[in-house]
Amino acid sequence: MTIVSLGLGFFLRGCIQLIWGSHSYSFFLDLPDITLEIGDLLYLSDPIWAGILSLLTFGLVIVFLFRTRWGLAIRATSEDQSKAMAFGINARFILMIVWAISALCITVAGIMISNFGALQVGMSYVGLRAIPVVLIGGMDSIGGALVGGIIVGICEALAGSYIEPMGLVGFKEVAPYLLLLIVLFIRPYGLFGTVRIERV
Amino acid sequence: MLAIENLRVVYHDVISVLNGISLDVNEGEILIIIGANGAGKTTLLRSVAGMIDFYDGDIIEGDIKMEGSSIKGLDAADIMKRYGLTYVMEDRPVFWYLTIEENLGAASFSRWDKHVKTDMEEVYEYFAVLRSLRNKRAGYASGGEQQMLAIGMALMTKPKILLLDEPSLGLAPLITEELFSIIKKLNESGITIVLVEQNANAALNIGIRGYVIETGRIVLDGKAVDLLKNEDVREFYLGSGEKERKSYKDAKRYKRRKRWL
Repeated sequence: MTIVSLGLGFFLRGCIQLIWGSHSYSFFLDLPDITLEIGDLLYLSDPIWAGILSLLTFGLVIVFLFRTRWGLAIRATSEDQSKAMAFGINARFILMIVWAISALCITVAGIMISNFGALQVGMSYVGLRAIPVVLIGGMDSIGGALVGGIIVGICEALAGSYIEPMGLVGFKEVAPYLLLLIVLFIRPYGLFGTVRIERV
Repeated sequence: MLAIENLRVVYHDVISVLNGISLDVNEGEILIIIGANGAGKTTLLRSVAGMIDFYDGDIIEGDIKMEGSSIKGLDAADIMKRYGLTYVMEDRPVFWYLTIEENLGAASFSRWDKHVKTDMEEVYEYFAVLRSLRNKRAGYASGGEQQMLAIGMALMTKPKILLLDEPSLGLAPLITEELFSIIKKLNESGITIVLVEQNANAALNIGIRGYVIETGRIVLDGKAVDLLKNEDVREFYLGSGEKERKSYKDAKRYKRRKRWL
């Protein structure tokens, strides 16, 4: 499955290059400037907007999952498809909804990321950085993804500004995976992964 | 109400599990299906509930009819919505990581309306234990509570006919007794019940009619009281009957020697 999705990724990337070309497009959202300067620290406007919008999206997804009947059905289906089917939940339809939601979230992320620089094909590799985020937070934990994201972000930034100048160029890219390795040694389900219910 | 006609089901295109089963379920009765492990009881229920595709099985012959119209090949959710047929899978099909209330909510997904809350109260009336556990995760409930929850969830779908797959699996005799008395009560409230059981004695005691399945065929059928008295059923499923050991010699059809040498 993993290999197929990687292959499909390459295929789609090729298709995009064929249609729209591999050069970069300029792309920016016209959002009001909210650059913050607190003490010695400078917070740029674009990353702040990205943070706000991703928190908003996150909140919407949480509300959808935990406050609506659709969300309840999604959580039930995620646990066991056959049981969900037996109780009248159309599993295929639920899977479709889940794919739609994830596509929506990815679109928001893509817009925010292209807002930092330019819109181009190679940008899609950013998606791979979600792997340590999700694994550190715990595969099945939603809050874990948020915490994991912040941890990985800080880890990357710190490694970029403190360790890379020591001569280790590119360490920034590796640091999250090293962190992931350490976390998985201590907690195999990730930091907030659901503890399996075991019956004795 | 429900009629199964000469049903043949094959798994993975090679394993033949049901070899031509025909049976009818009359409205308002409790129908008992007993049989050894691997006889095809669960497969029968799966095919009726429209879930056989999920387990890579195929109905290669025969038909399943609900109130005269064929439901063969329909989706599980469709069958439930259109004909009010709910299948409670074996081994306590509850969602472990949802609370008991959420479980009941998830089960009423297909018919969400304003009456869900009052229906939930009704389920709590039937199963008083569930009310005190409503905010607990179902995975931490005991086996009996989980089975009651499973039947409660089935009630949330407003069934007209309920297929129960071994509700007594792994439960203590006392709990089983309580469960069966609730099943009887449900039947009296107007729900037709098809009960598949290993616990033949308890099941036949509440049932009206019964079928005995062996290797995908019906070998015996009749009134539940008659089956309880039947010599073979008593010996194979109830563990009573003739006490003295039988020898293969007695089963020999010909006592006379057929050739010299």
